[in-house]
Amino acid sequence: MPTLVLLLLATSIVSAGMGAFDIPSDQVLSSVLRHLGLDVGHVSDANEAVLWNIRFPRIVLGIMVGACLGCAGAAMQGVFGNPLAEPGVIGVSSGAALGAVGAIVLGVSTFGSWTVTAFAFAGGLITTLFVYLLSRSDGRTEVVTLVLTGIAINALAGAAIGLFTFVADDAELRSITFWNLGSVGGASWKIIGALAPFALIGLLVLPRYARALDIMALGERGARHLGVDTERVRIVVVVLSATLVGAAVAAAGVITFVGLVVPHIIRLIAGPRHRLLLPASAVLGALVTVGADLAARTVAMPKEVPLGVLTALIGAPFFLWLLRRTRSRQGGWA
Amino acid sequence: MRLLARNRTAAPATVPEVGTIGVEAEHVTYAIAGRNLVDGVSLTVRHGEIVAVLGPNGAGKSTLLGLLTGDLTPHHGTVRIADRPSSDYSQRELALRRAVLPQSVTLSFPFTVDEVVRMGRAPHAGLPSEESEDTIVARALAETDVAHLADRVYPSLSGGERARVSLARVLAQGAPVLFLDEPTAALDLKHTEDVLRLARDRARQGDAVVIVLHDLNLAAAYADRIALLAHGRLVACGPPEQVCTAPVLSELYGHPVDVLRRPGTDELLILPSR
Repeated sequence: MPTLVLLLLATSIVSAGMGAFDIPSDQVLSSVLRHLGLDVGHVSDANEAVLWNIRFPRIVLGIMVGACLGCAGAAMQGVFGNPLAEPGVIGVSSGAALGAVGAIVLGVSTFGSWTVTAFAFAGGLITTLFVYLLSRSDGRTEVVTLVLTGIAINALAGAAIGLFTFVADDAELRSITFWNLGSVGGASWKIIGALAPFALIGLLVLPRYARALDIMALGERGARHLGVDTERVRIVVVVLSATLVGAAVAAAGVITFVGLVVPHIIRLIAGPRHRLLLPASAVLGALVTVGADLAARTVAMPKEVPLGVLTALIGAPFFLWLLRRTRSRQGGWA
Repeated sequence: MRLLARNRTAAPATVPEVGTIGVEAEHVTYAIAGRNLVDGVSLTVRHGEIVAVLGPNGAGKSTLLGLLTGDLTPHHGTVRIADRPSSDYSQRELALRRAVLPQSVTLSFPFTVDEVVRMGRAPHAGLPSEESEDTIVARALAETDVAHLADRVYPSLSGGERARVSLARVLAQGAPVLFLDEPTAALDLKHTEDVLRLARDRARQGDAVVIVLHDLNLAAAYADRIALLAHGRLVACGPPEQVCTAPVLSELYGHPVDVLRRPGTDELLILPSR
């Protein structure tokens, strides 16, 4: 865990220094320290402006989005007792994207410049609750039903997004592409401020359910035999995870595989206990996202590779490798 | 964690006395699609005894166990744990009073054996305890002969090892009423005897034990009473000597059964006629 935090800090500092023109790491550090009231070293005004207006917001947003996705992924896999469950699977990501695309194409502007973000957030939360209600019967939620409902909802949201894409004009298409591909390039302190409360609620409250999530690995009935109020745990964790993912998608579009791969890596290194898994997944999620964003904006300079495309490109094969390795070493998951 | 620790008054007041009611079913009926899987069954299991539930496939053993543990709610009748209807308890209060060993336990994530057994202590979180969790867990691991597996990952274990680890978790839970659903199905001869002796020891120490079995000889050797089920009804219930007679068992299983004595003892030997 401390190693992860140190790696995250180092990556952030390196990332802040790299870009259209390079700023040495010691200047990055000096700049941060100066804002903390410690006057050491010299940073030119131009560098100062680049760092605080462009690079830092982008990195902080990357950290927050990555932390949200990593932690939400771990929590959802825990609550559904399925290591393949992912926020995207139960419909949050596509629901949020649908909300955003709908707002863009329909030209809604109820909340001014916040409209698209607000719609993305609402879309994610509504879709998740919809999936949850649809898959409930007899006061319970069958995991298989829930996942299958998620697939259907994903297809429906995909079709609706396709429809919006079809009727959109060129300018709208550009925005829509952003939501589908995912990027932290639009970062600003304002967006970060809007994301922060949602991120903090989720990241701080979810670890309280760590022990209950551990026990839910025994299955719903087994967890009830040990006194866990499974229905309650499930609804709270689902809503909190949806909040995290909805907020992340609202700020940065759809970034896939972070929520799937990151918790797996932590489990392989440190085991499945949620007390460690939830916070560690948040930190590693942040690290992966900041690192991937650094790559996204530097590999093909001056052009940027979309971040969501990059994470999927790295994440998907990695996941397949992980699947093979884990199965052969630990005799599968079940 | 806070979720589990919410009810601070959940613990049972005292250790139940031998002879008091552990679990009691009163005319319970449970139906699916108009068919009574359990039909008007009354059964009382007291602290200090083992009651084995037997019957042919489809007789309603699992359903009856589900009703007794509180997993299922009877359509008619009541189930009481200690002196209160089981529907009056919160999940956590129930977890402090009864522990359940299901037929098989699969785990979604690769927890270690030690972690799995510790899960059994979850209902006690935040409650005062005479012994430390480490002591209780270590004893449960030793009693079920899995201490050497403590650091292994549960999904990598054999069927028999998993069954014993799950039993260790149930013992660690420390509930005074135990429900064991075919605990010996995956076990070899030695571990079968070990597990049933363990169940009998728990009963001698005052637990009420309900155990679903298929093996008539095991039931006759270890149970204080045997409850025979057929078509959801209780056919007979009493000490093995009384219940295990050739006519009753032949009728129950629809196959001729011989009841003999092990030479030199009065121990029952129950064999299908061949």
